Amino acid sequence: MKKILLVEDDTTLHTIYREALEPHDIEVTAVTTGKEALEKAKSLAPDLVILDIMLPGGLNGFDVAERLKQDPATASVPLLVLTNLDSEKQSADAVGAAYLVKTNTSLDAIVAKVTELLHI
Amino acid sequence: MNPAVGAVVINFRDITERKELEAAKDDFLMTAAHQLRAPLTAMRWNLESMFGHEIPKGCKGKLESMYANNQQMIKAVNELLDIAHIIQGKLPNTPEEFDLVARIKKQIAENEDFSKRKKITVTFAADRPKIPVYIDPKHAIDVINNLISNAIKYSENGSTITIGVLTTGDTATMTITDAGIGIPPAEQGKLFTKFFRASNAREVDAQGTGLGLFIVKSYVEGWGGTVHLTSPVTNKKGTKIAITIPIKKGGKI
Repeated sequence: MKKILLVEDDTTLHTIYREALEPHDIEVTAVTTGKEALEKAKSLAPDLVILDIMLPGGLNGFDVAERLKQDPATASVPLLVLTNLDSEKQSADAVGAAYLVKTNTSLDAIVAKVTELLHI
Repeated sequence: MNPAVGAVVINFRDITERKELEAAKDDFLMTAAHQLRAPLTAMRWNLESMFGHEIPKGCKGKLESMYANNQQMIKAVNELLDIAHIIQGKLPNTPEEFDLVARIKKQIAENEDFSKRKKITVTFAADRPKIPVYIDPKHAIDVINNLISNAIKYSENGSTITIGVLTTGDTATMTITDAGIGIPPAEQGKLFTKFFRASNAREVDAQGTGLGLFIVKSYVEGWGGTVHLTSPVTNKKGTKIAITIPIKKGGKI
């Protein structure tokens, strides 16, 4: 079973991601702030981190991405930025993250992207 | 007080207030559109996950209708965001080299459900097999889709839409000609302004946002191109839109 860390402050989306990904043998652990994300990324050792960008609590998704890349323990974990901001592709490229705009992406396309990034 | 100087001061204040109001309006547009995207995403994905389950009798059509409405709202919000970006000069722009001919063919195919429903024939011809351009592919898709879907929307069932590309040395001109309702000459000057919809277009489709052609013109002019409109084409009917854009020099395609 693969493990995903989901960083998303909209908790209604946690259930949707879980229901879509669990049938693919993917376990989803969800947090809502950047601070929790950095802690969980170390203890969980996920196979992929899904990052929203606009997060409460001072750290946005790109701050989290940069810190994960700087820490040798998490530097190699692939990142997928899933946001409603459509001007962030270049920022995502800069941290080596895959990038999708949520509103413009079907649930099937998200599952396809996640399984591709997890090589399953 | 010198009355002439007083008048100048009032004018300055007037312009400043108007500019602030314009800026506040643009900010509002951008914030509102972003705030709408989050709940629209949740709706979209909840509906999509329902379609994967068995749906009780009598609910399927209603869910499909909700999904169509959700897609329509996403399209409107995306267009609002695009124009807010255009007005503020903050449009995300990531140009890439690609083949214009292949892109047009793909967008014709993507509109096939719509054209088949109206039994409309779409023909396509280009004077070169491949034409390299260097623009943001997302913007190119928006432009081509807007023009094709407009042509289909405002054409009669069973008619023909002709799409062609002609090249000169360093430009490519794509024309889309339909035999549809046309655009009243008196309204053509306003056609490419935001929120404007021609009076006869409102009769065919009450739902349009009036943003599509404003976005088309903004993008094409941003590429250093031009948009030219002819209507009616023949017999008081039809619209021909021609967009001329630069070909990528030394393109690898």
